[in-house]
Amino acid sequence: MERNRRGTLLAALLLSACSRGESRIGDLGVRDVQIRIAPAGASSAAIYFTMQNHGAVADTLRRIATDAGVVSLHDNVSQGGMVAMTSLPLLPVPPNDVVTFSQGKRHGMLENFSRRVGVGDTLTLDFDFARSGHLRLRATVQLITGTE
Amino acid sequence: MKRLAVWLSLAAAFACRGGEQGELSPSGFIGAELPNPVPKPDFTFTDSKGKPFSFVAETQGKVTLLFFGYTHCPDVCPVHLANIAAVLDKLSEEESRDIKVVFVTTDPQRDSIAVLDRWVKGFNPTFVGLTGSDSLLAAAQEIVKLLPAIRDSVRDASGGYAVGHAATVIAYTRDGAGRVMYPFGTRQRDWAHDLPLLLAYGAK
Repeated sequence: MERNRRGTLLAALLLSACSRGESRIGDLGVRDVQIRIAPAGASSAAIYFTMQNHGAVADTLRRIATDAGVVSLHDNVSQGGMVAMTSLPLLPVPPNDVVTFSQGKRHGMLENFSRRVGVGDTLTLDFDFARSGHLRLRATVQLITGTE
Repeated sequence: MKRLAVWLSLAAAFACRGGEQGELSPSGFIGAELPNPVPKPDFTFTDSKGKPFSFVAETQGKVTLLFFGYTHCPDVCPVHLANIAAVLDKLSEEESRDIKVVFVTTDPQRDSIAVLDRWVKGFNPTFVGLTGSDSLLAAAQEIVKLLPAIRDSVRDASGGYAVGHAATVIAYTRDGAGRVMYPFGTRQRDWAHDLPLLLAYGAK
């Protein structure tokens, strides 16, 4: 009985850990979503996340939408100490593969704020996948803290 | 359990560092030391009050960190500044007083003096945000041996534009020589290692 209860508790814990970690729509999973913003006077925020295609068929991230502003997807291209952002119009997510958006590399850029976007505000992001459909998830805006 | 967590995080930190346990420069810096140091560019920018700011005069005798960027930048610029600010917070007051962080905009159209000042000071109230004419800003980057900022000709979805800029912080020692470059990816632990060395550089 005691063991059974422990098992149930463990299962519940694992389940909650999973749902917090990854949100799924069909074969597509999105996890570790972070919205990062500068401490003051910011006119843009960075969006970082990890996408995983658990299926055997390729998919494409078409866009990310939010009612808080306009999101565009970028990559940072550096050359000889210079860096420039290039737009990523469509982002393929190959079968059984992981695509990461992270600091200093590929990132989402939220700008043209249509309402207050500051530390502690929770935004809904709508990931639009060509095959799997729309995945809506919520993330709280955090301060940019850099890398220790 | 607690001890295990500490060991795990240590192991993870070590694993992340991987093979990049790089060599130090001849003077012991983690940053890239220039074989031929460059002089401070003798430019007069415009400060947050609209007043002239002579880069040479205003930073004399201080370790100066010069960085070009723009406030609309979501990723590289704020991360660089957040890292420097976090390390300055940990230095003594005496040390941090002798380090001047100068952020020069590469996007003077959108970065008005007011916008620039608020954004830069959000990281640390001692940070200085500077602007100037297009030709001055281009020439300033040229002088520090970097390519001038080139505006991205491709407009993004919202009609904005991305601004190319030097992602490298140039560190000048107290003698006014630009000696060490810090590319994007320089972490807080790297700054914590190098800032005291920059402060002590050339001291008898």
